Amino acid sequence: MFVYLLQHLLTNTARHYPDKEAVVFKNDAITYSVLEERSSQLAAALSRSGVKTGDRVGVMLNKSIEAITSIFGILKTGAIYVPVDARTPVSRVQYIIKNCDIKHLISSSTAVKAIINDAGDDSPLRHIMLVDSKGDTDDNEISNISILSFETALSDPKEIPFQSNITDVSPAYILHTSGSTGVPKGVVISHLNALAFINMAAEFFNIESKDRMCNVAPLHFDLSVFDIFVAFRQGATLVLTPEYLTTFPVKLAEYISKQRITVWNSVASLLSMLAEKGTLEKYPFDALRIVHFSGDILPVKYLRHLKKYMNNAEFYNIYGQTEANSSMYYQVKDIQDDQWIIPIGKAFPNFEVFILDENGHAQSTPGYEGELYVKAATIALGYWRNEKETSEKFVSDPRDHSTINRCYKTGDIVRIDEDGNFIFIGRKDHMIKSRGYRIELAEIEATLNSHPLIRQAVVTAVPDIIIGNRLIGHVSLINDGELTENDISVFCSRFLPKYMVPEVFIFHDSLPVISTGKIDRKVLEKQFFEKLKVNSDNLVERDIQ
Amino acid sequence: MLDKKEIRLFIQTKIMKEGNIDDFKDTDSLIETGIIDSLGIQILLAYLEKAYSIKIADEELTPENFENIDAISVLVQSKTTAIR
Repeated sequence: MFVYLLQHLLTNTARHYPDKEAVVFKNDAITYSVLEERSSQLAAALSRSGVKTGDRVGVMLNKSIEAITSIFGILKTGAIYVPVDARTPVSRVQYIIKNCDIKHLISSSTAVKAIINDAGDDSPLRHIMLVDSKGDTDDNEISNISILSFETALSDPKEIPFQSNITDVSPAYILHTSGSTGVPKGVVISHLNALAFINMAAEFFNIESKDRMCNVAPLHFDLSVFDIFVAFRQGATLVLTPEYLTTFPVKLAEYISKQRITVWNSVASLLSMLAEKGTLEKYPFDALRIVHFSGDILPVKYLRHLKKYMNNAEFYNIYGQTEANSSMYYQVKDIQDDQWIIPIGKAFPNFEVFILDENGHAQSTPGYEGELYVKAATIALGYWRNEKETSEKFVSDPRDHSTINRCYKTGDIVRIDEDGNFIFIGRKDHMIKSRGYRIELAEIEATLNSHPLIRQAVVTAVPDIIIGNRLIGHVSLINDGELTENDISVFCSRFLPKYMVPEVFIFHDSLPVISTGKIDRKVLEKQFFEKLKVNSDNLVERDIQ
Repeated sequence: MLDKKEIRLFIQTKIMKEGNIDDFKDTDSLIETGIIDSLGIQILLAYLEKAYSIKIADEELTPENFENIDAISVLVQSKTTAIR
């Protein structure tokens, strides 16, 4: 069949491998043919409840077979799936629902409770499908929101396969990342964008139907795109890792070994944790053949340890962002004794990367340093309803203005070494990575500054070898303002996900400034090290001049 | 006897960071609810090891030992008793 939409990957594979396990989760599994059928039934039910081509449908579920079924059900209607983190503060969920005009949401009864209670009259939400409710009862009607159970939705066997009539340039999903204005930005990815990466990655890494691909990243994180869709394209088995396992390194190591995972793909911080606390020597990892790490720097000492115990695996540092998907890779072969940095490497096939040097000239040869640009069919459609930021980051090719050629301006400063490998140097702005999450310090600052008793606030990041960065809040209060560290922490938790809430707050009478009146972040960073208030085991002091 | 309230207070203020959670029981799961995640566990470990002068081994970092406030108290209690 002609495969040009993400859902076609499932339909096509269900024909070739109908009885093969598509998804494994805890003690459950679903075959390709059953998943194909159930996602079509779901698509039919969503259509009956009013979902139309181009609508945004929210998925607020923990990892589960139902979550994967939902993604394909939504895609089959021609709608756009919007994964929402069930553990993010309610105010953030409400923002995403309103901004994306989400009328339909698939979720669980515990997760939606707070959403419904707090929905407000202006919420667009009208239909909720619950994966854990049995049948429909009268009390399922809450205010003006209708509630349907997943079970009822899947009881109608008609309309299989369910296919919509859209093209590959249509949006497929929207993933939210931290935004500098205080609210998240929705990155809109088309079927074509996603497939350009999936098709390349499946071939590049020789993924086969016998592979067991581990999905660790949450569905709202773009690493999950590789796991789900590459597995489905090749007829491999997707092994969903329960969220709680990432908290317990020894259990996670045991799980990778027992599940006979062949392909691992996660943020570097999780692998650092596995290396440090996973007691890897206790388990065989002979099945593991590919390990991808991305998001932050993986310290060389941990990489050596992982390679020692996962000795059949090829290790790849993968570089990318939601807006352009993964564009570069570096295969770690031998690690030299004096090596301390792992490059982000070179462009994948069908990707072009270059830098603009200080004179604004494009360069892609050794010796140059500058901001990295990515050009490929994966470059996203833009930020949802955010023309300003879209035009700033998605720009025409600075080397050639003769036609419309879009590039993504990453904001990352990189250097090209003598072997032609790109080395990550730092950011142009105040964006940092922590635990693999991209964080705009400005978004946290905007939240802090919205507190009526805070006069001024700045957030600095302290590098930490395991998690990437730790966040420190610096605040000065208005005259007579009284706030404790805990008050501010609780306030932040109402608006920001946990990984964005600073670990420590330091109070200042006023924040130090440089001659232009801008807040002096360097002085604040230095002061922090002088009166260290956190567990300092893994901290790295920046070279402060 | 170990004061469970201290551990509870730490979890409430430093990890959950929510104002009113009085209805949260010592037997309620901290893991299923995601209160203790990969972020929370590091903060909690550092606190327990320092506050009670104990060392929690990698092998003891299991869902069973951190399932709820009761389980954490039992773990800490067994460690402090062993020291004496």
